[in-house]
Amino acid sequence: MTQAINPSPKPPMTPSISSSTAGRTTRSTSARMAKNRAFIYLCLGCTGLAILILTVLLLSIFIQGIGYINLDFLRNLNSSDPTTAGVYTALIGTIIVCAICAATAIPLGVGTAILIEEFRPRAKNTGHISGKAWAIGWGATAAILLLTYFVGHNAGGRVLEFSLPGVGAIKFKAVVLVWILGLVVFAAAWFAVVHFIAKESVLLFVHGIVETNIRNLAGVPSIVYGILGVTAFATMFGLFGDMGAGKFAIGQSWYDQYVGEDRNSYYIPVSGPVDKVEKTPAAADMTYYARPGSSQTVSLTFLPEDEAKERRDSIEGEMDAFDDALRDAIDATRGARGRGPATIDAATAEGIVDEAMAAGRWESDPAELRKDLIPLVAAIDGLDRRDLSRARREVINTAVDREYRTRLTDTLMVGAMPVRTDRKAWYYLSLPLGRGVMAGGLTLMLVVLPIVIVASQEALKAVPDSYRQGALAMGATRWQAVSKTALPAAIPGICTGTILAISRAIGEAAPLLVLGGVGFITATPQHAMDRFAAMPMQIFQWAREPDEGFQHIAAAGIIILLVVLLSFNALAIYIRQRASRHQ
Amino acid sequence: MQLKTRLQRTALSLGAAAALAVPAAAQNLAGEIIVDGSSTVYPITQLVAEEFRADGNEGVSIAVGFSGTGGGFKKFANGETHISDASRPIKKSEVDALSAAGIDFIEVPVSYDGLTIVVNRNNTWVDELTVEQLQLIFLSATADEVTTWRDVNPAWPNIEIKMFIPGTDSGTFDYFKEVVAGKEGSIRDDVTPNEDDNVLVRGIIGDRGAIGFFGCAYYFENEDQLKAVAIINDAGDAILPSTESIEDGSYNPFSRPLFIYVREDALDRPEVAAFIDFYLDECPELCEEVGYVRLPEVIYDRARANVENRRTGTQYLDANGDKVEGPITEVYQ
Amino acid sequence: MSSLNPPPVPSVTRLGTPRSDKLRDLREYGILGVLILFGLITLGVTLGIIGILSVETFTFFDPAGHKDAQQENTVVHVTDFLFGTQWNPLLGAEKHFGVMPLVIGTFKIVFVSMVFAIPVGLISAIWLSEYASHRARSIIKPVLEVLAGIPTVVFGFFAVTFITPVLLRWEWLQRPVYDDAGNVLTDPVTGATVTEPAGFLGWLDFGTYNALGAGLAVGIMCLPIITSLSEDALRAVPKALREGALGLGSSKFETSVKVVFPAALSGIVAALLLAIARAVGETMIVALAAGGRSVDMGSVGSALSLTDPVLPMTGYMVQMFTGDAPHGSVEYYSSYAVAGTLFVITLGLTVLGNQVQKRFREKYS
Repeated sequence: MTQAINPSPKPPMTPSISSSTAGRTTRSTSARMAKNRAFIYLCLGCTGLAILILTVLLLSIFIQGIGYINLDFLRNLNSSDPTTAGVYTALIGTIIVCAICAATAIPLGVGTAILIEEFRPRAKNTGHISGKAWAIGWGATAAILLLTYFVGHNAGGRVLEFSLPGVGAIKFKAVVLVWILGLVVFAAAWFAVVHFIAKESVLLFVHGIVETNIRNLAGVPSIVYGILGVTAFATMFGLFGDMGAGKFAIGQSWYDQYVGEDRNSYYIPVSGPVDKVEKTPAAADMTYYARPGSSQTVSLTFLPEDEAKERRDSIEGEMDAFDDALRDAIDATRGARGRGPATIDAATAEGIVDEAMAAGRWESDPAELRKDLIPLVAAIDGLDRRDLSRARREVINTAVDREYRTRLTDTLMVGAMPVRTDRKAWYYLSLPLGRGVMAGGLTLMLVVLPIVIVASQEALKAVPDSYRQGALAMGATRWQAVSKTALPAAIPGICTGTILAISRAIGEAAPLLVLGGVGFITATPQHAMDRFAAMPMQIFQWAREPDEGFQHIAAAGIIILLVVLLSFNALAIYIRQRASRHQ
Repeated sequence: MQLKTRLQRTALSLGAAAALAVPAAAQNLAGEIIVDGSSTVYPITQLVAEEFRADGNEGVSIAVGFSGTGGGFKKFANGETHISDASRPIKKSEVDALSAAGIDFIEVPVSYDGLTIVVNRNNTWVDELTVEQLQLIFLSATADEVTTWRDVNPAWPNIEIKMFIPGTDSGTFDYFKEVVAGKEGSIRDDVTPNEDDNVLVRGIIGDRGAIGFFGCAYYFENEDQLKAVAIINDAGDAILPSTESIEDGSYNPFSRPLFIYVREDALDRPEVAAFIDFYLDECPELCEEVGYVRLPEVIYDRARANVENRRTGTQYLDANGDKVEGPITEVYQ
Repeated sequence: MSSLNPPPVPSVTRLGTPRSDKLRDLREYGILGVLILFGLITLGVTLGIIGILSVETFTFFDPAGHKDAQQENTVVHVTDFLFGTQWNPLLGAEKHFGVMPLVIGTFKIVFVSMVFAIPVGLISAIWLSEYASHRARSIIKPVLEVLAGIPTVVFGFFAVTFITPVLLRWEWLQRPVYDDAGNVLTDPVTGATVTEPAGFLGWLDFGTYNALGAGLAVGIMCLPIITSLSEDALRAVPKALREGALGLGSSKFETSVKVVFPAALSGIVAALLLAIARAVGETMIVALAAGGRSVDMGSVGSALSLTDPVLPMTGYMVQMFTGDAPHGSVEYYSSYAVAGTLFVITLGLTVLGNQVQKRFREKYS
């Protein structure tokens, strides 16, 4: 069908033009010119419409969001209050995830492009063979799938278990074994064919499959990559146990954590996790650290267990009593059943403080404490919900902290049973990867890999063959010819394509949604397994909120995201223009 | 040797004491708390986490996800999370998965979520509905007979009923289905379900014959755009949803409790214990900030006691694994 | 960057001094091995996707695979899935897992987006390639690339906050509401006439979430892709063809539309198929703007309606991945069956596009 419309390739112009002119000879030139002009207007109209729509899009978002962008928006965490919500952790999360994505996608993508373009096996009639390769390749895949299905159907759910010295029990589903076996058989068959039958045509065959496969991957929806990402990276096919308790981990140091009577935690380094090392009972001559991994040691004084317990219970009990009494006294000033805003004037504030303080026992100066608490309690007047909760905590914390400071002269250990905790170094690595930045970055890598490969292929294709031939003629090997001539010349093109691909990764939300959406996180990722929030997810979450304030900060978030993207794109354009100037 | 045993025994009894409520912010808490689960509970947990952090706990890193109650329990059973948000009590299959993974959990109710039945503001005929009328409107058994408001009540106009309901995999839908359809019935299939409450709000605003339901939180936020319908309760009174009527239990049967489920062994960690303690102390104020309704104080007290005594398991399944139904003040002990 | 045009002589002399042939060969093989490994990883991606989706899909069809197996109505047959006309995992008296409504939902979105994006995109591409000045092109081309990189969640947000309100909120166009007797309804309290928004242009009753709004947003997303790729295809047509046509007396319009365009058709079709594949797999726009009810196939009108909400395949998957359905239930596995269907459709489109491009490419060298 397409063939019919096409001018036939052999004599390119004659038939189509002659037929068109033959048909049109009766038409007047002016009618044709009018048509020509009309088409120009249509073209301008369409282009104008496209530009108009995209302008409206950007403008409407800009107008909605620009008022909400300020330094605090960049510095704050996400919040349930749209006026204080910010993008800090999401922005950092996006940057780290995309950095991992770039660090993996670029070598993999450029390498594959080099394989396809520069190590293309020499043979005639490439198209024909790669078509056959394509068919056989998919046939082999289907065969493996059928095998998996029939075996997996009968025994796939069965969990196999064996133990390795030093690692412990490894459990996995039988279907995984079938898969591995299938791949091994597949690889072995290939090896045999390559080695014993026909080297060059087999290489060509593999080459054809790789090349076709990449073109076909380019259209796979990102949400499908998300599903692959979860299984391949987050759970790693269940090969290394559950995500919460992986089999392998490095970069972890273990501590026993003791909670002191002063409510501070103290740490003593131990050699392994809970099930490997016995818990250490507290002893006076041990060295404790104020923080895990810190060099600052503290010396602790121990009281006999029962005496320590008594002291601890007494201070906690007394502070609890104060806490309860204060809450009750404040609730009494509120509406029905202690709901609604508090109504406190100067006199009631004093009454509340007296009532609450009477419930506790004070070793710090009660008169001074009372003097300090009264204005704090008075400030609760008219507050409700979150504000009331905050103000009330300020009162409690003021009193309790002062009392602790007064009573505790030495640090006393009471919780003799420590808690085993760990501290993860920046290079912490565990298998399976879990839902952290590493899995996120690798999942996005899957999404952009075809784009990077195709762009790098185009860039390599654009390098004149004479570069490589010159190098080869002078005795260079293929790789030398590629790495010293073609690749450097293709770098601007590769950079441009790669940057556009990475900017796609920055904006992808669907695969991360499948991986597991984190809406609120207080910390930026500290290591590659750490959880993260990402800008597009954050925007998605805000856009779904019915509160209009969130619509505005969603728009503000979009502006930030677009600024990041535009600066990336500007870089790509700059590289390309520099490159074209050089040529 | 003897000394060690003695120390350990004392330590065991003290270990429980260490988890006791610390009245105020602990000083140098560090570590990581990972929460995931229901997007309905998410706003509460997020706000509590924000406030906990503002209360001098910057050292504790908290991540809150919203992958749904089911997705949350899946991660909880994988050992990926410490706390799981749930907009419904845990199900038998999920309890089984958790016990297979060797994870003990403590059930902590945190607030009420009232389910509001709403209609378009231009709907002049409906002010109150009975559960039976809702069954006529929503059940598949009557899907053929009831298509307009007149089919529900002959006094009402002949306007097509358009139904907007929360996503069929949401806890809100489960709850509505349980109340209206029971175990046997089912919701008709020509309704418009959507995960996004915003969609529902807008859908109902846009259609005069619309009826829908969703969490009170969203109703309270969009009060001026929608009309809530009073529901005839078990005492025969028409009750509109409000913080008072939900809390005192007169707004029934459409109010449900929300939960968090905490890993028992995570409570050994001071930061998790402090977080849960903070959650229970401040939840009554904070859940109202995000549009939910606080539970009766006695429930929070029971929850505190259950956390303190490490009472594991759910109280919404009986010994045979059957669902226990009833108001939370009776079920949750 | 300065090595862009490396003088071949110095660099080759530098590499023309191998330490030893054997070492050089070894390195050569090593590098080739690494590159082949990379190639195999890309194959592994495809195999991984197919493997995971098929295992989970088999479980979906396997009555023993999921936890609701005891309930008799949760067994799904392949034919029910492929040809069933109802998708109601949790509604109605019985669960129905017929994927057709989801597929039709997806293609409604694709239809709307392409009706908008193909003409506008192609004509813009012709203008850009044939008419625009070098200067205009050098500005617009990079802009198009930037636009092609805008995150789709942005288009979704635009659909909800701009397109849908434009379609829906014609509040100045109110119409009175009548009761059955044909009398105008009045508010019992104020006595004012009850009105309702008259809908788009006074006659189309759009749901708050509708196929048209979401489809337009998807179309806007596809527009830069279509324009940019088609322009590439048009530009690849040799100048000689244009000059020949013009020389034979064709107008610029006739040259562009009757000579250059057909010559570039294979590339354009491939570009369109890629854009369609993108539209089929688009997730965030439909998750935000398409609504959540699967297409009602009860009548032709409702099945093809653009004013009603739709639930496309990707929309259902997002619902499942953020929903409350217990892990391991039949609904949980249904999302994988839908993902499998989606994968097959998009893969088919891309393969088709590549075949078209390969088979019908004109060679002008």
